[in-house]
Amino acid sequence: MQQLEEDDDLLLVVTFYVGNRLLGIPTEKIQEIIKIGVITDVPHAPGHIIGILNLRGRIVTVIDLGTRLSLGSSQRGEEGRIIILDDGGESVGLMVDRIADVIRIDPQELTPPPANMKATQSDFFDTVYRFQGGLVGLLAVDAVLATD
Amino acid sequence: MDILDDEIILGYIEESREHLADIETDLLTIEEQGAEINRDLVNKVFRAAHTIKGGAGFLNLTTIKELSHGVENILDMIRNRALVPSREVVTLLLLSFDKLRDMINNYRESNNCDIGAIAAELAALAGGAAPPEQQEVREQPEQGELVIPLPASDIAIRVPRSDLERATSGGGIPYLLALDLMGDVPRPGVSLTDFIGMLDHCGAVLDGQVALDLTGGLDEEPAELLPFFVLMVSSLNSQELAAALNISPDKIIPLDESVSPVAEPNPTPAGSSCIDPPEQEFTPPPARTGSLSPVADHLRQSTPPVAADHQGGGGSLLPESTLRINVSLLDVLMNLAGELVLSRNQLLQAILRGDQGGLKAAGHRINSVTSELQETIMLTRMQPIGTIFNKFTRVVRDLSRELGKEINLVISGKEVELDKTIIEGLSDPLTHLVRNAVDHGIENPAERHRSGKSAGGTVRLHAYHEAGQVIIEISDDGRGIDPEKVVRSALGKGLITPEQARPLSDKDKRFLIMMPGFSTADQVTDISGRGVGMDVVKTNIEKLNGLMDIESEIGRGSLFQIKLPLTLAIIPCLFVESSGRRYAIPQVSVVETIRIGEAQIADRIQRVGDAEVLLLRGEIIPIIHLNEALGISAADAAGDLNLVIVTNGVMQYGMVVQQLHDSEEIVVKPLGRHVRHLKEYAGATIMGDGQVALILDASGLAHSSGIATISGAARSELKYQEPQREAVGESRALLTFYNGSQQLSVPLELVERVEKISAQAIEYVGGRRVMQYHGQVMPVMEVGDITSAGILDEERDLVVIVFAFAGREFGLAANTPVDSLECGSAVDGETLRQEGIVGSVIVSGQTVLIVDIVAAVTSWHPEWFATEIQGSVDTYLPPTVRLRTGGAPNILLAEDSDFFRDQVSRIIEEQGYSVVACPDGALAWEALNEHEESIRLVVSDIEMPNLDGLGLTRKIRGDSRFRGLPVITLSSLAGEENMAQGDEAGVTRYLVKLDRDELVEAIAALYPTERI
Repeated sequence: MQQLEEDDDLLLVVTFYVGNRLLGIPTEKIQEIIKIGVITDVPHAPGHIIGILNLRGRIVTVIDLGTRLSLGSSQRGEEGRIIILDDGGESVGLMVDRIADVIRIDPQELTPPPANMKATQSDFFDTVYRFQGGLVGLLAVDAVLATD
Repeated sequence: MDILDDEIILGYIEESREHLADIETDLLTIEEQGAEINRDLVNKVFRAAHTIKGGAGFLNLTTIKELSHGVENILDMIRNRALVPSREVVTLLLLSFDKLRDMINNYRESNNCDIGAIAAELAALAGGAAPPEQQEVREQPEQGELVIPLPASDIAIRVPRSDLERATSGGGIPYLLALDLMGDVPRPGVSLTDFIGMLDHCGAVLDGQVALDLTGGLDEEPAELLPFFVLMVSSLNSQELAAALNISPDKIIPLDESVSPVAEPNPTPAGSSCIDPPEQEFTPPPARTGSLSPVADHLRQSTPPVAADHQGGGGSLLPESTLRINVSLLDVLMNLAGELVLSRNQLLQAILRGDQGGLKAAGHRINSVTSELQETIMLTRMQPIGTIFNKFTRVVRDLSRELGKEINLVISGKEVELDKTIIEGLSDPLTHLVRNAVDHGIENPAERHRSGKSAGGTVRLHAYHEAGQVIIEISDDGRGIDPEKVVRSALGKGLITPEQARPLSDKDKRFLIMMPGFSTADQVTDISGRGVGMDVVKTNIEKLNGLMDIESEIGRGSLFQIKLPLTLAIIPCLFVESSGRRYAIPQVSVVETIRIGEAQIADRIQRVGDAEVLLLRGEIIPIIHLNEALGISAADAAGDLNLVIVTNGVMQYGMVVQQLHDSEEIVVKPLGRHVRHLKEYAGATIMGDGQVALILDASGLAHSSGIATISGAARSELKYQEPQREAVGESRALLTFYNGSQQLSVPLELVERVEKISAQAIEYVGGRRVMQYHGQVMPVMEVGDITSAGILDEERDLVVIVFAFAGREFGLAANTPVDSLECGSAVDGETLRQEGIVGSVIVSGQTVLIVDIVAAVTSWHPEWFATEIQGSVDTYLPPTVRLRTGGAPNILLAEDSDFFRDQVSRIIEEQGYSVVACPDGALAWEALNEHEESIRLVVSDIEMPNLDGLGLTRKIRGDSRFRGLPVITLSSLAGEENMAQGDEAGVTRYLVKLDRDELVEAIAALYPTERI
């Protein structure tokens, strides 16, 4: 992890993998990250909804981020995690394959997503960030959580 | 305005609301009692008005003060029997209190409210009915007001001279109290309102004023006191008064002549002070009923319809957020909280010590304490339903008056308690239903007179507990809901098609009023329309997890029934399992659970079209498989079938599940927004093991499974016709279909399946129609081959109705729509009987012919029956039968209905027996004696003229020759009581009409083999 000086202007981002893509969500939008527990499926729900789970007495809807982004469904492996976001008072979970690092990035260095990204996918990304030779796509959380 | 502490204002608002809460009921009681007033009750209302006035004075809410003052005057007159509380007087008081309530809810704006008209009305009433002893004063009226300058202040208290005179007329002494709102009041244990109460006890408060000018400006040092002055009249001397109010005597200034009040011409606008009575009022009657000028009428009209927004009011600044709780309940809660703390300490200690036994004990303790805590907290939310029932007295009173109807409102079950949230949610739907009953339900007196009813109608509001739920009924003895009118209206609005309307039962038709869009502008009246339809009522009730039902009889009245859970947060649910997943079904929608043994499945579960139905006590109930309905494929495993019969309020249906679990109280949690749109679920709950289970929504599930369609509802109509059907004693299930435009039917028990086909599927082979069916060639007929009723339209959707006879299948080609129904009326076997038609029934006002399918098959394929009987003898029938075939009759059949006698005879003869059939028990008894030697078994209907089936059985059992004769009874009356009666009479087997296979099986089992 890159060690940067404390700076209020820097954005703290949790990065994680969906398939082999490295994606990120700013920490300020994340409530917590939990292991994949027992999920109750909800028949007739949209395809990217895995089901609902009990998070300390609250019902949390779990979205398969891979399916949502058309990147193939999540593996639900040992390293799989659910990122809990606050969605206007409701809790929603995003299932990802693996959590990577928490990185600090300079918002100045964020660039718009590449033009050749699929139109359906580009809706889900605000910006991309160059990181260790690769690209981290910052998720447009609102678009991901939108109900069609 | 905002200078005074918010807390004081809020306290005042809260207390004023409490005072206002009961006033409506009290006033209506006062009206009822008329001249025979109950002094205590009037005093109570008077005190309420007085307290409101007092507080308003302190808080500078001048308009509220003015209006409550006017009200107080009238109440004072009523109390002194100077005014009879007539309907008009009470109406004016009610309107005034409405206005007061509005102003208190919106206290910030209250001073800008225009109360001129209503205040003038009050003043006129007060002036016109002045009590005789004050006439002297009135004869030399002093103009205007008294102005009492306040010490050390620029402001003065103004009070109408007449008020002071009236107050002092009893010998009281006027005082001016100089108090400090920061020091004297409020003080510990005595709120401002308490203090006003104390003042009231000591005498009559005329006015109060806060001297804001003495508190200084913003740029000055904050004043250490907030002076306020009270003008009051008391019979106590100043020492006594000081002691009674617990204030220092120097704050009490007696108003003797030295503080001579200054008379001033009336500077305030008309209506705000006492108006001089007009000349003709100089010799008023001692008491009068009071008459209102058109102003009151105008007020009534300009006041929005008395609606749900009485309490808390539309757009009110301060919604009601406090709740009164019984102190003893709070004590219980405190104790429980104490126990919880104790248990926590034990738990912590046990954890520290690693003491397993201690952990367990603490766990148990916390478990029991928390459950009790939960229950007790739920109790604090329970409110009697009387809180909303009470307001309907007023609603009905005002409405009936406006509509010129005489209506008596009967309320019962006020004490039934429900969760506060439910009570609040019920207010609007109930208001709508009550308004409907008054507006649409009850006729006007002339119309009632014409239909021979008493002029006054009755609307009943009734609440009671039943099976862990609360039932609320709103009924009227009015004109009832005409199902045909409803249908015409629904057709006119394009809500349903004539085809959908045809199979509807009267009940279904009435339910159409709850379809969105049914209630439209053309029937919006001032009273109940308001553009809000019954669909909104239904939705609101469903939001509360409730169900609605409508019963109605034309000319007799209507009944709207609402079933509600006691509380929303915790509901009893039945847990079921399907495909390894557990689901909860709210108990409110569960009718019963049924397990069907594997052997019976074929008999009890049948297919009609592509729908599966369950035959339950003669009813046809559509069923769904939960796992299929939820799209979790996996066919149900073989074995016993577990069914939950649920209702969505309109219809019942069965839900096949893999396992039935226990019923549990669960806490309902809402689903997230990504899945909330799924109508199949009412929410989710967390089970004991921490897993989440979905709560199923019976109506949503019916909808998504496609059985909630109108024809699906018709299928269940039987249930609602049950009472009539039992009265008739006969019922039959028919499958209706179309042959071109002609609607026809066949007895449902003969139908195996109904399959959709295309016209090309039917081939002609050797001059006969056949089709490929399940890998075999199946003969197909059409009605035209049997009788001339309609012509099959091959352009339209075709189905083939598959019948099984003597082990073979054959089809009847027909047009859609296909439906099944149970008809309560008897089959007419004569009027329309003809070749190929066995009879007719009237269904929803239309004549439907019943095709004689048995005769058709026998004439078409006579060889089937011959070969079948020969072929099956060894396997199916007892050896004796063969010998008896064609010989003397060996089975006696008693059945009064021609239709059934025909059907049953055929079924029996198909099996190779010889039948003697009789139309009643007496003739059957004769026939039995005649064929004493050959009859081996009796099949009898129960309901018959002359001698019924039970009578026949008793006669048989009473005769030594027939004691061992098996008797099978066929009846449409299922039920343990009926069966018990049958047992008592000596019936060998009790069968429910009419299941062919069951009958065949019973005969085969009971037919004696040993006697030849």
